Amino acid sequence: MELATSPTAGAELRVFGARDIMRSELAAAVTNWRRPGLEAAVRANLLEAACAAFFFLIASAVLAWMVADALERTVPVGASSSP
Amino acid sequence: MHLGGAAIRVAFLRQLASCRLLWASAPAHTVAALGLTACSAAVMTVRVIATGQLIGALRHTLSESPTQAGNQVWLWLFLTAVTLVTAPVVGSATSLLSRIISTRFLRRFYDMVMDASTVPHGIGHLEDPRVVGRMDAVINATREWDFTAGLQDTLAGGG
Repeated sequence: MELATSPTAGAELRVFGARDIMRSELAAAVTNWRRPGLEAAVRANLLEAACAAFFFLIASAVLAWMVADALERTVPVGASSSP
Repeated sequence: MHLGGAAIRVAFLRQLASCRLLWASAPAHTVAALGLTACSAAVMTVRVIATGQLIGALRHTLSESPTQAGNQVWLWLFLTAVTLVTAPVVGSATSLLSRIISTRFLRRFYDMVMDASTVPHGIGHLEDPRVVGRMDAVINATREWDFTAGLQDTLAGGG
């Protein structure tokens, strides 16, 4: 960024018409800077979503099993009042 | 009292500028993040309602007609399960989207700084200590860890 904001480099940019080159280089630098974090985030979020979805699928299956038992009246529903 | 009002106004204008920059950087992603935020809120609300209805339907089934109300139990159980599975997936998608938006935001941000310094024909403004000081402050701010972390957290929190 100093190449664009300092007077000496700024003058050279104007003389050689390198503004567009600087812009594209800067955009590429930002992309390269952020890419590893972005790629890691993609992997981490996919894994996190898959694990959470798997966990709640199992929880739902267990819940369905409990509901089925309750509907068939094989297990009592409600708190026991015995001491 | 007057100072408080001015501070609020400045904070509001800063937020507004940030929103405008966000929209200019990634309009499609911003709309998607907004949609996911609404979706996340809807999923949470539906989950609470479905869980309550599931308990109510189960209780009704056990006390009265088992067949008809039994179908209601399965329907509410299905809806509860769908919301349980959907919520974390939506959360992960929002988090990922915030990363993409923050990258585009930064690219746009640097583009604007580049424009501010290179678009004027001459270099007189680059020799003005006031302008140079402001540009240095902007560039140095982006090098702070909390700039990108704060940007990402704001997006994730909003989205």
